Amino acid sequence: MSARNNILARLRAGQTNQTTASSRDELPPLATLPEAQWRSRFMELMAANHADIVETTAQSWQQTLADELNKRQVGSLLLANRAETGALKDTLAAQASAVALQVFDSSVEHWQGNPGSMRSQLFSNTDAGLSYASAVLAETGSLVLETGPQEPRTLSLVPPLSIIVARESDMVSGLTDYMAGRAGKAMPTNLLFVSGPSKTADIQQTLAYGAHGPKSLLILWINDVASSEEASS
Amino acid sequence: MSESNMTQPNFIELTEAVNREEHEFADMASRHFKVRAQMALENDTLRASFRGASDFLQAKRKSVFPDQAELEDLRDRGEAARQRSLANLPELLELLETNLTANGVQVHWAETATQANQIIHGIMAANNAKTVVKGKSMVSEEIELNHYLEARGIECLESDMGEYLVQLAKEAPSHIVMPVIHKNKQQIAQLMHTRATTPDGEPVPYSEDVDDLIGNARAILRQKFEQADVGVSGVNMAIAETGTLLLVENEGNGRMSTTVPPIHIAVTGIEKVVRSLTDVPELLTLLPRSATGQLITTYVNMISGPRKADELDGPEQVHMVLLDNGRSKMFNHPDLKPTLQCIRCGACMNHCPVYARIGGHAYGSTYPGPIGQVVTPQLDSAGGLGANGDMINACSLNGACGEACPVRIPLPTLIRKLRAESVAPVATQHDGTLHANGAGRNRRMKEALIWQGWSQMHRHPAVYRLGTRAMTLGRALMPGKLAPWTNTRSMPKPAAKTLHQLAREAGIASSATSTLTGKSTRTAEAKS
Ligand code: SF4
Repeated sequence: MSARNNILARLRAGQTNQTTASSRDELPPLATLPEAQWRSRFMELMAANHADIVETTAQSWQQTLADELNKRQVGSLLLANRAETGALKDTLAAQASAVALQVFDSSVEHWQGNPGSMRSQLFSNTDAGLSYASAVLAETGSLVLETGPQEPRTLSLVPPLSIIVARESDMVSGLTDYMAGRAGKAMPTNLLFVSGPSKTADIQQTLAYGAHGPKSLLILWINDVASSEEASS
Repeated sequence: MSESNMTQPNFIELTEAVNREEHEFADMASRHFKVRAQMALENDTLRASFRGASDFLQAKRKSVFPDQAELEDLRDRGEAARQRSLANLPELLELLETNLTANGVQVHWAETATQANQIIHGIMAANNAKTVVKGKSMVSEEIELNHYLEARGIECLESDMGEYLVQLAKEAPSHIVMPVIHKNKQQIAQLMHTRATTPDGEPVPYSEDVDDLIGNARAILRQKFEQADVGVSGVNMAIAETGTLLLVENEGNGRMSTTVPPIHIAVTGIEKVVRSLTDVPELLTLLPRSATGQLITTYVNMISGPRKADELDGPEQVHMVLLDNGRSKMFNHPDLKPTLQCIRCGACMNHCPVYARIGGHAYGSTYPGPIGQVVTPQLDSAGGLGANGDMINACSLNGACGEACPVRIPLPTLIRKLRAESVAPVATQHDGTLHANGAGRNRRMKEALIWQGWSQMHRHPAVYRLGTRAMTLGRALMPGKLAPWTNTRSMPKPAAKTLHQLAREAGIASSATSTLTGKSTRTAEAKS
């Protein structure tokens, strides 16, 4: 503990020569994007970041997912263990029968009772993972994922295609509002903002997708809010 | 290289080319700063790479700050947010420790680079861990972690694409955000082909296509993520109230390193802490925009603990190593303290005309460019002003870095302050004044005397007039060369008459005694 105490003692000594706190502390909060522009801004930014967005509804999104899986010839899909997973499996088994379904229902080390198999299964034999966004940030074009038993950390990371279900009703203006709303609430083990498929520009500033994470991001966008254009027209 | 070689590269020739680059790097690294800078300036390929990168990154940054007023407002906020955190640094660190511990994260404190390395090695030894996969971490470069662990038989693999390539080349990063910007894609194609092997043990096929290059590296590194015992990462912000480590990245290697291996060790400087989640938005808005011209990075990953009992994946242990290595001394220095405001965005180097010309390796330090010039001499592990005195002189004080810095660190002022410290007279070193490491180490008697003379001359009008008069009279006697000043410049000749003489002749100044006082101006105004 002596390193700790030495460091803290030196810092405490330094606090005596503090410059007075900046008057800029009194700055008003950052301006946020008007609600009428949220949807279009989000769509624009996600498209610019090479995410595919397919619009659907709360009633038909499972069918939309089946159609997309068929269209993209996805061989295998990993699902989280959630309340709706049973029904979803039935829909997909009927509507996208070519897709092998797997449920992430035990620990990564002991999947199917076979230690070590999950990692290689996950890394080598899983084409896609299905995740659920808990919020959507308009200003930066980001999806919020909260990891836990129903949203394993690797689900949206390891498979080459990440599919994320997002609801328009979960949209907020951006970071400022989201963080203010989050304050005081318990944090998940990982709180993630995802703003596109994985990418890099490390080689001669040339953008390439699919660096280490998913090569593609597919967003199933549930239109569950009467859009502002419709409302005003 | 001929056209036919481009399509059918000769493995041996390419290997030689790659080895030559490694040798050139090692050779350059062994030289003094001035020689390194000279070598970099003479390397056209290197200069083209840095010019290209600087232009690209400047344009990208500009595109996300279209409104100057908004930018200045954001910079005010960024500066305030960092100063707010620093004002309460010891309390915030204690709060962070409490909340990290409550979240199940094990907190370690390291005063020196060696202590940090020992702590990390100790965690690995206790868990019988043999392989490390690393997300991007400049602090791990600062403490030379790879070197330390490899000497103890542990394999460390960099997984950030740029860092991976730099490691493959046996070089060091040349930029804190874009580690391999000193190489073009032909060089990288040669490097991958000759030094990397596919998971099947074959040489990676030769390709200059960036998608191929990234795809090949991805395949190699995925296998490593799957198998590594430990993931090491840096931290962009640590949030005290929630006990959270925040990391930004585009590639997903940061998420991989902190998620897949059973143990995650984060290492960061003690200055990175902020109080609460509401301190995050302003800095998170500024960091990616200033760094790469992105509104946000692909991933923002906020880690608040290891795997919980009911969770199915994630590391079983998370460790946080908090490093001092000179930071608490910076905190104590009345003028140099703003060094700690840095969020490591790299904008200062992207805007620095010296960096654009000599590149990152010439600095010979973990952190190059303006922030490198400021922070390096202050790090305990880097040898202070004695070892880094030349670096701080590689600056024209043009101010571009200070204008680009998102948290308004007055970099040119700090560079000037360090220059002054490096030649500080011995007398002030024992009067309680706080100094950076190695203050006074570059004081030269001759130089000090010359400046004392200069100062005397400018404080005494009679001496000043005498001096300038002597210069004009003796102008024919001036030497033609004044090395090294005249190596790249021609020697100026003093004019035949002093400015005062010319002014008097033009009737601007009425009398010699009024010069250098406010009186002459007033007289001139009265006359006109
Ligand atoms: S000194 Fe400022 S511009 Fe340079 S890296 Fe740090 S925060 Fe960015």
